[in-house]
Amino acid sequence: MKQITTILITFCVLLITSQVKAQKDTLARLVSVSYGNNQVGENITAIDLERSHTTTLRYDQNYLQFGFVNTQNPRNKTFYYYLEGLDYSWIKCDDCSQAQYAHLNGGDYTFHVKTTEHDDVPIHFKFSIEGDIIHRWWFVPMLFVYAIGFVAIGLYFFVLYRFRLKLQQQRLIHTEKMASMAELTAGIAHEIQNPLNFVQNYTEVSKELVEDLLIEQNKNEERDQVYEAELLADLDENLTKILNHSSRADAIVKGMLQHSQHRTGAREYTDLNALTEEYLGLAYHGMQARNPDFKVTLRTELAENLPKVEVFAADIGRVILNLINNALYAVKEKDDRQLSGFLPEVLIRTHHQEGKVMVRITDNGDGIQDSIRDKIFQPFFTTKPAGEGTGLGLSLAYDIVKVHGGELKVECEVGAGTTFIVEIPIM
Amino acid sequence: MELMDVASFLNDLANYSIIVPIGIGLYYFSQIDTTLRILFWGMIVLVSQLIAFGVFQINSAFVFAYVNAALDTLIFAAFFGKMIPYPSRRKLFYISACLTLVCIPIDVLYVSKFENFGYSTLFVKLAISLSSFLTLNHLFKSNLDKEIFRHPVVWVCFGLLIENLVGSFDIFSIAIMNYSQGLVLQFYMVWAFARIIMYLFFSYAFYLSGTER
Repeated sequence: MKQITTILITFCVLLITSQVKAQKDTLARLVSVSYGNNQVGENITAIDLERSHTTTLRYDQNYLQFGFVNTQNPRNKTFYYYLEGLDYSWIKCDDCSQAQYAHLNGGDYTFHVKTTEHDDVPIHFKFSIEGDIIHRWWFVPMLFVYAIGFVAIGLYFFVLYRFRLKLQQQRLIHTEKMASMAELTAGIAHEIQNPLNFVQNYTEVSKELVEDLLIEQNKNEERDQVYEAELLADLDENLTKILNHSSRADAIVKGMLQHSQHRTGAREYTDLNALTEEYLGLAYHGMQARNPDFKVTLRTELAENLPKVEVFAADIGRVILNLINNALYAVKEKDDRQLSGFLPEVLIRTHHQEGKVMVRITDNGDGIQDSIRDKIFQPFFTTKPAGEGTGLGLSLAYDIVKVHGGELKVECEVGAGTTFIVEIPIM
Repeated sequence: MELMDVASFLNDLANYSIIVPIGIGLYYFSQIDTTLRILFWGMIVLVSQLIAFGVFQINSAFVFAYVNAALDTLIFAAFFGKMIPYPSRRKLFYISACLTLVCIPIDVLYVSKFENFGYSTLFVKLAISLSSFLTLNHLFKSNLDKEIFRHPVVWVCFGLLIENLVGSFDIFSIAIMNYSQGLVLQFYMVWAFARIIMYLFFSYAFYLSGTER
């Protein structure tokens, strides 16, 4: 018990000694603290330093002045001070007796000041500044309005940009359709032109035959019955040919009408051999109409007993037409370079295996570079010069084949040619 | 490094980054179109203002802002006026710009009295933002055959829109400084970034205009 009492007494003595030493070592003294508004300098108010509680200032009273002296040596005006809550380290101040702080944010602060004496203990002054700008009623709405303005403008142009892209795509798709239609029209016109030529020629010949016959009939007694019979036989033969060729033209027109009906109708079981031949003819005649001097060998190897597949015939026809047109374009491009020994050739094969019907379209053009092979099915990608291709043909073909549950594949060898394979499942 | 130092550095960087578009504009000067030439000469005028303030040691931010607003009015009235296809509307636009030019000294001397950045400077910034917005709106809705981001004026308008919308916040800076200097400095840093972005967009616009012909 005695020992505990001794320890307690020793501790108290040490504590009191250290306090006395601290009081003794506090050489700097705050003589004044004043506050005011940052913008209005003349309204400075002094704070009563005798008050024991922490001083709290309004948000716009954030300009402070601290006056201090060295109590031991008033002539010594070198101090260290720092404002806890703002400064990161002590600030040395030579030949000065006050420190000023302006534009202080809301928060708690403690001002420390000490002399340059080695063992001097700094004196403190605590104060708080109320609130912060974010607590002002107008500040957050103002930022909100600004943010809304920026977001709204950004969003507006984003939507406008998307809308613009959509319009551009629609325009390109329309161009592609027009180009496709132009090729079809050229092919169809050629198909109809042939029977029409025959009809025209045989009609002219028949007209001459009729004139000859009339002359012969007007001879009365000198009429040659045998010659008349020959003329009538020729006339009959010509009329039969006219009927045949006009029937062919009629079949072409009916076929066109059927295709136009298909576009709005349902899937139908279709013979891909017939469809391929039909569109090959259209593509070839379209090519001939545009480039009459271009000669190309077209070969077909169509599988016998090819099962019919349930497809939208017009759409698959469009795919085949597009692929044949591309093949013809590729061989023509190579042919234009007048390479010795090059004979443009396009081969179309059909066959079926593993529940699929396949149409392979092979050309001996330049092939497709490895660097662009991944991009050829992307919309708007084209290797053709500006104005000649929209870059949508293969993309649309790919989409059409996908809709039928099939695949559109490409095999190629750079410099040797390309093969596009249309695979349609037999349902 | 204190916030003040960072803000000052960024402000200086933003001011001096104007030499990038001027350099690129000068390089492609013979190829760039008339509208962008107006912008080029406008930037030359703005650089001259910077140099003149430095030479004559005019340090007042207020005076700088007032002169800047007047120059901006002249430059961008010429720039946007060139793009208005209808003569009557163009005339109206030029008259509005002249009225603004007259209003600036009245505002400075009798309304703002060198105590804030001036309401007319705010008006000029908002007018430039609006003109940029309307020009962009027109460009986005027309000329579908051309990729929109290959159009040099689009970049100029985006730059102006960003810089002037951010800059228009400056009207609150004096009020905010009353509460927090830190916040104002942060705003100036954002504004400096916006200005750097604008000058980069101007540079790209000059490059596009110079290389696409």
